[in-house]
Amino acid sequence: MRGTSSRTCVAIRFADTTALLELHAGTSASRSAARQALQPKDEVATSEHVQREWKRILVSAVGSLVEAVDNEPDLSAAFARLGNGYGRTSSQRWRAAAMVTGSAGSFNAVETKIRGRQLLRGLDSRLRRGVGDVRSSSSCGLAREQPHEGGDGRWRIKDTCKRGEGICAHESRLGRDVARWRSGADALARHEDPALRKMGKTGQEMAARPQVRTGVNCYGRTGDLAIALDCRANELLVTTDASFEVIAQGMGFTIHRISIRT
Amino acid sequence: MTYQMIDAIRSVKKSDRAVFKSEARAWKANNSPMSAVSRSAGRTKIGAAGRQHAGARQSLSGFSRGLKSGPAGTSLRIPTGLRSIGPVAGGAAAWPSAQGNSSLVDRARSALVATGAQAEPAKPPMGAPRRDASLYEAAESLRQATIAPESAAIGWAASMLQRAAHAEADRRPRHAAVALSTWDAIQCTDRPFGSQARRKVLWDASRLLLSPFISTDDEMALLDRMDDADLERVPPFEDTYAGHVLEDLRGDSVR
Repeated sequence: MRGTSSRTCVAIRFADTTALLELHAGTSASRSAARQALQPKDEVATSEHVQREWKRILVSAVGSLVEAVDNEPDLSAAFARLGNGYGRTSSQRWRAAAMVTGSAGSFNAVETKIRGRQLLRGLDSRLRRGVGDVRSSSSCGLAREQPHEGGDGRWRIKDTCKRGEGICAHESRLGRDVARWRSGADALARHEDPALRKMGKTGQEMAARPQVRTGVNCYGRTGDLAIALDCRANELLVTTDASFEVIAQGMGFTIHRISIRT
Repeated sequence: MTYQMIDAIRSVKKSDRAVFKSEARAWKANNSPMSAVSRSAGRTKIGAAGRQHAGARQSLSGFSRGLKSGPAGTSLRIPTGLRSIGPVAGGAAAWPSAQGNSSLVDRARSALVATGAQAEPAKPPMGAPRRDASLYEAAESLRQATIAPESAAIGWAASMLQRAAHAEADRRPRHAAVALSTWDAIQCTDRPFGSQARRKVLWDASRLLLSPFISTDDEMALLDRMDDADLERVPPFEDTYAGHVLEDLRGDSVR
């Protein structure tokens, strides 16, 4: 198994970030569906790009909630921050927040803080509770980052990088599989949704020009393509995200889409 | 509850006294780098002070060990290592039940008066973790619930775990996190004590609560085992506080 951790894993399913969020913090129906699709754990793999997204979402949502509990008398600002962002970002933050706020009824600041800190110091453990293997084919430096609490009580994690920073091997990894990448990007570029079309065009440019394959183009614009590239042709990608349906047409793997209701 | 009271309670239990002695032997064996002189000095001090409190020892043997003062103002010492070892840390010793604690406290208090000892506690030695009754109560109630998982015992354990989590949130955040995770598991799981595997994990959680130090690895390993035993710690999204807030926002119209 090329570019994977040393753990032995016969993967036949591949988990996307959204599927893992449903597994850990979904509704009764979606969690049950995710659990059914991602069992047994040892037969499930994921990508380090999922690990990077997982950390970014959880640190952003839970970190701001813990910080608000510490510093702000009114939590409405913290909950309002959860709703910021476009598309699925907001719903992902709400899912992350649900992992620490506990049962409905009354909000308990002390318990939220305890759960939040525990989650933040065990981000990798939590991720690996749902998957048997994390494929690190791009050696992403951001995926290896760990959150830390600053002197001001704010939780931070390095979740951006610059081209030429040299903390990953994504450029050469993409080069090894450029035909598959291009077919996924082409499928996206033909789609009617402008957001997917934009992702596809960036992907096409990355396929053509190796020097633009890293930095924001990787973590910010073509994350789904990078995740899909780690999913093999004979595997089943489990997700809630519509973009993978389009990518799957080009790259030639099958997907299982979990329905959610937020 | 002061440290002296806890020491006193422990010392009046014969079974605990036996554990105490075995722990003392283990501690001495494990602290061989200490000079033999200092070890013998410590023994001499305990011995001398013990003679001064012979009367008290007859009625409440060993009680005076944790007290700082006596008629001659002699300072009594317990080795630092012993203070950090919980009576159930080895998993073998029985711990007084919640009902039993109150009578033992009364006995300890009356013995304090009888010996003329000062009620104010001495500070624990530097570096020694503070004993807190809430953690012991939580661990013991959880242990009792794993042995006899009846609804009253489970409810009591859940209550004690939540209390311990709140009490230790600032002083021992790892202990608080373990207590709260266990409480979450009991709250969110259908029949949390329903299988041998689940009871074993919860039993180990009770032991971990009594550890002087909880590493991230130990904490995460326990959570992994909870997941392996299907002990849920997060309610379904719609039953969480965040889920309710989001549901409340759903009806808002954008103007």
